Amino acid sequence: MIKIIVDCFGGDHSPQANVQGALAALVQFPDLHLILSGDEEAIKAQLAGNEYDASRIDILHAPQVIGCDERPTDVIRLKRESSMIKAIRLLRDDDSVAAMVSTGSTGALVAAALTRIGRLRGIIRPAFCPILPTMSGGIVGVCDSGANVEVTADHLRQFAIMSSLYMENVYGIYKPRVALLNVGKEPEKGDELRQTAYRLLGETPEINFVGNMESRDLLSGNYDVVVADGFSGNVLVKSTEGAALELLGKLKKDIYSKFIYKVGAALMAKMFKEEKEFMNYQNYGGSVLLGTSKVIVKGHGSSKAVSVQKCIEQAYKMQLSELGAKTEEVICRYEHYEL
Amino acid sequence: MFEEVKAILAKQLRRDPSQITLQSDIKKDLGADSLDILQLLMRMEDDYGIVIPDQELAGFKTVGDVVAFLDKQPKQ
Repeated sequence: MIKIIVDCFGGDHSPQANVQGALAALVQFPDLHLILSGDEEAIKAQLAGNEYDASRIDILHAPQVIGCDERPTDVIRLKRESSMIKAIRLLRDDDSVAAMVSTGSTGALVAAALTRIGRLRGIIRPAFCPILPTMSGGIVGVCDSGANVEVTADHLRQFAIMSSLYMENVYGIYKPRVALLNVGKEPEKGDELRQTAYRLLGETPEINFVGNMESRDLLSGNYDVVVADGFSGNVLVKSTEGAALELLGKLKKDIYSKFIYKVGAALMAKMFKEEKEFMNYQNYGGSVLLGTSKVIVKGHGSSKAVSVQKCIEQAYKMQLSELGAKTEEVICRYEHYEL
Repeated sequence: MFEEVKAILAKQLRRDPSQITLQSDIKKDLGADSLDILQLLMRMEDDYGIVIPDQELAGFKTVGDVVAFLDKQPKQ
């Protein structure tokens, strides 16, 4: 039995998407037990009318909600009755609860996780690792994508180890190809941080380091994990998503501009639908926070039920694969290394 | 109070409780970093229903500093 707590508030489609996603995950994994955190009446209203095994769902009543516009360092201390903070406290205090999924404020979740859940042994800074689809039909992870703005080369090596183990254990990728985000492919490119990190990554036998990667190659399919500081990684992920969305928008606009284009598009409708589904971020779950002592998955604020279900699936697989213990084992070999 | 703080620190920092004394420097002797200290204080805030003022947060150096602060708080 794997027990996961789902913060049911704070997202654009909460609590409906969170509760429906949770119910779908219960069907998907027969040994899953869920705790739904949030306003009890609102959650019960969403559960009503659905068929499910009530013995596998508990509700943790939490009357407050953390808004995305609230200052994380304040709300994590003052909004103790919020769905997120009550969930994270239960995650900390109840050894039987393995993981947490939230679609709420990213800043509050990171702050709450770092100050209440703690880190795996040897981890200096936990890091986010979202997954994106590649043009070869695979996936690529970006670590870090926003938890740490300023990093050292040693942090980057930890990000590489954590994310490589994640891709291998959760997605079954054999010897994930790890790249370092840089402004050029040559080893001497970039600032001192990137040059030092390049050397360190090359000296780390636990990862399959394949060199520097330029941002334009993120979706090429040539890499399984891209290591970056949180600022650059966040810009990389968002600019890639933005470019893809803009391109799709222009394509759609152009198709509707001429009758002959519409005819052509109609003939290719199946392909367009498949591509749209392939690029739909809702199908790829959330961004996992690697390096915390318990599993935490952050879903997109606009997550719908399918995305919440995917987030729960990620959390379930992370727990099942014992990723935390495996990460600690490798990281501790480098625990005392400092740049 | 010392025993409670000791138990939390021992679990959080994976230390033998016998190594933790009132004089232990949380960073130097117990190997904690700033995030570990924040985690400890957040735990105290949750358990005792208090909010530790920001100006106090940087002032905790030894285990005894934390215990002395908590001893001054009104019982919840």
